[in-house]
Amino acid sequence: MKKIAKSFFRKGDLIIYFLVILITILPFLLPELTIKSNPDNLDLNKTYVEIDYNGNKYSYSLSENQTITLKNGLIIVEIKDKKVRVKQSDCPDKICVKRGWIEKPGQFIICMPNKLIVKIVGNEQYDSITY
Amino acid sequence: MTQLPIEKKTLFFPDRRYILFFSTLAAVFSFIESILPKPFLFIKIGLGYIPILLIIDKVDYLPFISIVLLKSIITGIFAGTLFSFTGLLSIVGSLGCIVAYSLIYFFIKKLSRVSISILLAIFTNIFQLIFYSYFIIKDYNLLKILPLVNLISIITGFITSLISIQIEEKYIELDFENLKNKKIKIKKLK
Repeated sequence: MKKIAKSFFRKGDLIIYFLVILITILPFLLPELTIKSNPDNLDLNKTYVEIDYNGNKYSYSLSENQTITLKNGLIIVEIKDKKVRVKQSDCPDKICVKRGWIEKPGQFIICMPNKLIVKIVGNEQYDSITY
Repeated sequence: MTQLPIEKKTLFFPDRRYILFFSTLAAVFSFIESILPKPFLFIKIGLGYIPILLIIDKVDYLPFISIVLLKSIITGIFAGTLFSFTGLLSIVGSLGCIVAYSLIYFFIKKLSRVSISILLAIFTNIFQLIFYSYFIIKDYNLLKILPLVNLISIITGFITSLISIQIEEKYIELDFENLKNKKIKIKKLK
């Protein structure tokens, strides 16, 4: 019985558990990964919408309202008030349409049947940094 | 209904052929796991690490590394995923396991099986996650799910260590006595 208890806990384990906790909270300590973007502070010259359709990449400004039609009008991507959405699509599940509006850099909408990726690309400004 | 007493068997390994035995056993375990249904595609318990946990504090450094690497290669051959993306991830996970083993190699006798298993699981999954986010999708935002991955690793590592402890307590005993601190040459089979 003692042998079993020994294989569940020994003194050296404390170092391992400390290491495990350190690894778990590491992403919160790195400043690059804790950026929270505020859409009002965005540098709009550097932020743009990137549409990847059938392997070709197109980029559009985020600041002007416009609609982009793809696949002879079957897919409609709408840019409005610094937000983007897929307004209409001919795919069966309509996951890209249900995703709704995206506004922050790094967010994206993916439509697998049409091979479409709508992504907001840009530099994120620091709102707060935690050390 | 009476329960029959289970005889505890001793497995004795006189030479280095145990490397092949345990790597194949681990590969069979992980192949069995790969055909079982999973709740999500990438969440699995890691049954293949049970034979590896059984021998982790009994064998030397180089045999252990060869067992871990052979395990992922043989699994790749069994499942047909050796040169695909899944096989690559499996080999990267083995590298993570080797790094974790190297970290704890000198004081492994002072650690319990549970903590060793948790550490191996975490390193395996972290290496896979870093490899996936930096080299395959090239987007380090994926590293934000690291705490979730660690939580899953702790649970799965705990389960595998429990199974390996039970196997060692009830069913088999491993005997590597002749191997420690001795250089034994493998005799050629006639």
